[in-house]
Amino acid sequence: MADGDSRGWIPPAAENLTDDLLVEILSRVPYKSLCRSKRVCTRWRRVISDPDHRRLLPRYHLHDAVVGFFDHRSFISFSGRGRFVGPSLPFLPDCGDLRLLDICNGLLLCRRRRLSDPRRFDYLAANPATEQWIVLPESGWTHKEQIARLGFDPAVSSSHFHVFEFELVEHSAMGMSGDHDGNVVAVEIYSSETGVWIHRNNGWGCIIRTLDIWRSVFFKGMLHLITMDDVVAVVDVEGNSWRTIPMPETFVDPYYGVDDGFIDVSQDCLCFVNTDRDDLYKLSVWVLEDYSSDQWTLKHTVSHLHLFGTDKQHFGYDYKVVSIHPKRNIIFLVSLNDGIFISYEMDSREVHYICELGDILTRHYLPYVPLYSESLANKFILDIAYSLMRKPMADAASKEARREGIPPPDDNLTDDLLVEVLSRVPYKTLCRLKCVCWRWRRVISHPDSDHRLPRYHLHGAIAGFFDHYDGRFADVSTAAGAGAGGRPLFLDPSLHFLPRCRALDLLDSCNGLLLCRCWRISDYRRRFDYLVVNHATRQWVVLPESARSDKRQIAYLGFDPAVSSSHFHVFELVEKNPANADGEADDGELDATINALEIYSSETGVWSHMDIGWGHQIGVLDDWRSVFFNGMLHLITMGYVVAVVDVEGNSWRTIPMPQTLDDPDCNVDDGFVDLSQGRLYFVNTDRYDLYNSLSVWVLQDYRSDQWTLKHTVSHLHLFGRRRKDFGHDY
Amino acid sequence: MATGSGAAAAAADAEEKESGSRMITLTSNEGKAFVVTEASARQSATIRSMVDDGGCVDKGFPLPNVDSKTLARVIQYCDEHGNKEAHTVDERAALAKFDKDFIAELDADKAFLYDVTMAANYLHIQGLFALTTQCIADTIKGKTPEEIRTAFGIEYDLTAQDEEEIKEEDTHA
Repeated sequence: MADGDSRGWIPPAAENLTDDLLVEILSRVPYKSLCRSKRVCTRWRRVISDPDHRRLLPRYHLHDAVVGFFDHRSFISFSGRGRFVGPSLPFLPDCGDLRLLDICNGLLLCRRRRLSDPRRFDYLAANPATEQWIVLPESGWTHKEQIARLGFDPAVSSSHFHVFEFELVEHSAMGMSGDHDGNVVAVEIYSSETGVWIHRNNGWGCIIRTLDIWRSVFFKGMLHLITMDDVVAVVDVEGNSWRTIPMPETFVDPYYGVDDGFIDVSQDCLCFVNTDRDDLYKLSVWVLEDYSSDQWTLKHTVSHLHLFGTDKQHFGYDYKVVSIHPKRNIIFLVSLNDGIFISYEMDSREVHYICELGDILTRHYLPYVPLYSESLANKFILDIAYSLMRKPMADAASKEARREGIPPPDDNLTDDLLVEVLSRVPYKTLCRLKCVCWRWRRVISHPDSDHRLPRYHLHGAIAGFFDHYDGRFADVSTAAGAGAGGRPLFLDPSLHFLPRCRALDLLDSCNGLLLCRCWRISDYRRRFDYLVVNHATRQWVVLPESARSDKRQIAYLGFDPAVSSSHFHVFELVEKNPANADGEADDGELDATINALEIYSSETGVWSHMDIGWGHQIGVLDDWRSVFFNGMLHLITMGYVVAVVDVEGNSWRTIPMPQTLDDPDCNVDDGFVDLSQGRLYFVNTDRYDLYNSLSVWVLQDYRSDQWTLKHTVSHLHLFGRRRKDFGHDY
Repeated sequence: MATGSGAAAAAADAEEKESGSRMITLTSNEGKAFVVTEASARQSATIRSMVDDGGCVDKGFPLPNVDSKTLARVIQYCDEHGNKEAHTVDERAALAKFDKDFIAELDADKAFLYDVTMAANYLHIQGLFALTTQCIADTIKGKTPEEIRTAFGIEYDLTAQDEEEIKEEDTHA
């Protein structure tokens, strides 16, 4: 751009835009457009996918980001739109009681009670985005809960953080479950770099009182605390620099126990939010433009009437400020009366509804934006396991790789081969190998590799339990978590990234998609919606009503990523005799003769009704197995046939089951059907040897009805004893 | 805004008025000099910090990364935002209208729009930067990748495999 007038030689204009500028631009487009923009060219794709940019791109904007809820009865939960941190932070090790204390730039600080000695606790720093965590050494106060805050700035160091623990003079002896409210006598500061706590006496030169639910912010290497003493108390990570910044003059009404204000960092300035002193029903935002001064500049004022539609709102009591957008003039608020999460754009003065919070309303909200920086994760692992902290990452990692017998990165090794190799290493090793080189990391992280790599191998796969005890509770737990390196995967019983609902039944899972029945909050146990979920990407979609939303039916999912990665079908079997019309009575297994099918296609978005075309009655149980194959749903039925129907409801077929013995006395299953190596498999007890062996048949030619016996194994071999009934004992 | 923030803001206002009368010279990379009011120049955080540091106010500021055509347009924005008041609703509306016309005109010449964006970034003119980047972002909104490539003059360099991967990554793509 040396010469503005002769543009002929200038390369195509958009190429002039630097990556940073491109990120700035892309941060302003809606999420869907952003996804499409990946397909513009390799450079755009790289820029969008770069972990460093995620924080700025809309997918990770606070609009979609997670809100953390802090409940004083030691329960943590996160909501938002389909985000992933669960109530128990499922990737953490077992512990009795976990409390979230602070969140700072994607890193969480928790207090964990020891299982061995519940009176003592440890601090734990965790990054939910990378599922990494570290336990801090004892601070000397392991028996007494103090106010603790986290200081972490990935811009300064992506692998090190500080923890501030404030030693208080207690007003009363209780103080265990209530708010902490006391004079700060001293501060213990932990540095993850040195690995030790240092002790500093209060250097502010005045009495500083604070509450543990009050907001603090880490900025310029200093922790900034809202206090009861009309100042923002500031201390650095060394405990050498102490400062108090007088708060802008605001109105504080002690009667309501309102907050003493809210503090955050936006556009590289400290921002302070509180009720306007001159007008109780207005919210004002001040900015400390010159960080070294004590001069706050009034930036914006907005009336409660404009924000909430009513004047009578008290800051900190009726509503809370949750966050200020780091780059824009946007405030995020929770209206505690309405139970909603809203955003307010100062420039346009627009109020936007974000989501409903349901009945989880607490006083403490911590905003959370995921941090995808792998360097932190890698550092964690290396710190803990190998103490290779001082060595260059790649060097350490490839050394590690050699030790595990994996060939060093080799250009001759194709990605496919590399995946093959990597699929043979244990899960923990695989995690470490991510830091070998960029290519390995890409290969390991790549979604296509997921199902071939150990993390997603059956060792670490997810098993769903359908609990018939109360009939409406689905539990999904990890099977053989030990096989995956002792770290349970992230799916917890409530599929926590889903929106809130009364109860969730897991109905079917098909090639990585889950079909759930989600009981509506508004209309408990009467009506429900079907929900299709991909827990790996945390995406979910609610299906339109099937006309049967008041009655539980057997439903199956048909999804084949090889045919279409974005479309699926849901088959709902319509019972012939709705004997259990009363919603309370049908808690047991659904056992029905079906006379019609409702088939939902996600492509057309509609349900279509089909009368059954199998020519005779088909009875099924809802805990019986089905499999989706060749675009057809295959059902085990009571009529000794495998019933088959296609997604259009046009093609109907029954395949007689291989001859097996079905013993009604034992209430055994009618067999098991699945797909392996491109063929339909059927498993059941051998007809001739009821209690002693299990047989596997395979349908070699899909068009024929001829099952070929592939394998027989004795129960003795499988279980060490003979007397086992299929479907009953195993 | 000055009404609510008390003595400090009033003092700052007074200082701004005083300094606003000073003139500052900005020089493009072609050596062309532009004389602007200090209030106008202060729209740029880069220049503002140089002025506050007591830099070469008299000698002027060379801007080696900005050409004359771009600088002229950037100054047009700064003059409007630096020299006009924006306290009343009417004043704000007038500025909003200026922004709208300003960006509509820029949008017609994409190459120039990118130049202005980069200059705004270099000079840290927050308002202008937000305006131009939002305008470019609006171009992307709702377009197919093919349309985006056309709009930005980008060469298609993704392989079929890349496309497949992206599809896997995201169903919205």
